[in-house]
Amino acid sequence: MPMSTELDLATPAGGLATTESISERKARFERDALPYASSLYGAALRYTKNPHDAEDLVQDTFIKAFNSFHQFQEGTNLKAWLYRVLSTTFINNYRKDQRRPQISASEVEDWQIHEAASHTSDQGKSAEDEVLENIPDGDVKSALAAMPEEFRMAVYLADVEGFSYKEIAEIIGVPTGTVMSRLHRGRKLLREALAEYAKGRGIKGATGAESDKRGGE
Amino acid sequence: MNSEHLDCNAIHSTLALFIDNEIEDQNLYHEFEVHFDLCEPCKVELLREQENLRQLKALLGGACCEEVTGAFQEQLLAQIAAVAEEQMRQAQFANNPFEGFAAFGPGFIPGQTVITTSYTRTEIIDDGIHIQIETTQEFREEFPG
Repeated sequence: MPMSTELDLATPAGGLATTESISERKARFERDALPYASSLYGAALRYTKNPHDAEDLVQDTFIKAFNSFHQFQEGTNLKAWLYRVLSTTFINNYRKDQRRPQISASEVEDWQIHEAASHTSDQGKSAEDEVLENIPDGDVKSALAAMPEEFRMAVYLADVEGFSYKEIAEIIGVPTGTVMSRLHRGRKLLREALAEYAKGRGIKGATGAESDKRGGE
Repeated sequence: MNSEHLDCNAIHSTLALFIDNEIEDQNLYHEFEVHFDLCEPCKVELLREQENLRQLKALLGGACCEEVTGAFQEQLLAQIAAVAEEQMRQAQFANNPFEGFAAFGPGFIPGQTVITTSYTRTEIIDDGIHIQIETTQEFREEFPG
């Protein structure tokens, strides 16, 4: 599968000939790659939004990764490489709309609810000032899930998994500048959605407003 | 109050880079630090944004820490083992049992086409006591387009 060399994914010199046997490769894979199962599962949940599909996605990812493991250069960025496999597997096999992800009707409705609510909210205390603490995990996950995929995954990869801009760019296959703007916008959307929960409104699935209150990016 | 090299607009528009530790240029990073030392409003904005991000990460980290079950891990191990077995089976199929021939790589990837052509020439020399066998084997792997 096409991989950028920026992640040091060069095929070992000499092409296919290596000194590692299949058993050795399997042992190396179990030792190095399988420990990322839970980590990949978390990301898969953000992509698929349900545990069953997430498990399937993780399984498919590991099988695909093992089939390509002879191409992975030991000592390079394995975690990012695995996430790249996850991302492409999701896009190729799981995403219902193969082009730009569609926003579901219920998500549009949630935004409209949020918009209406925000117009009656306290003036002067913006989402920037709201202290985001003590919000139930379920609400955090709902807010994240309600975000459009491109923003959701940028935030997840940066702020949960700790990938750099460059790593995220390689994982999802977009320029670094796109990562930066998605991350900036995604954090803002998420923050606005969580601010609603913090204010005690508890609107299920509320997301950030479509239009940026302070002027768009 | 503006620092000599970076003004507040530049700081404001690239603040995330600084907070996310994405500024690789040490000189530029230092310029940011100098500006924050000299400019109170930018310093306030920095601290607020850093705290906002800290809260966000704390919430996300607390919520998004799902783990796979032991059963699922066993399932993964079993599937990888099955794939490895298939690879080994295909490698054996392609292996040349005669000496002096090295297998092309330790494994073959399911989905690729392996074409093996063997030529064997047998000659009976002299009075039938000596037999010379010459074998060549050609491997070709075709990757799916």
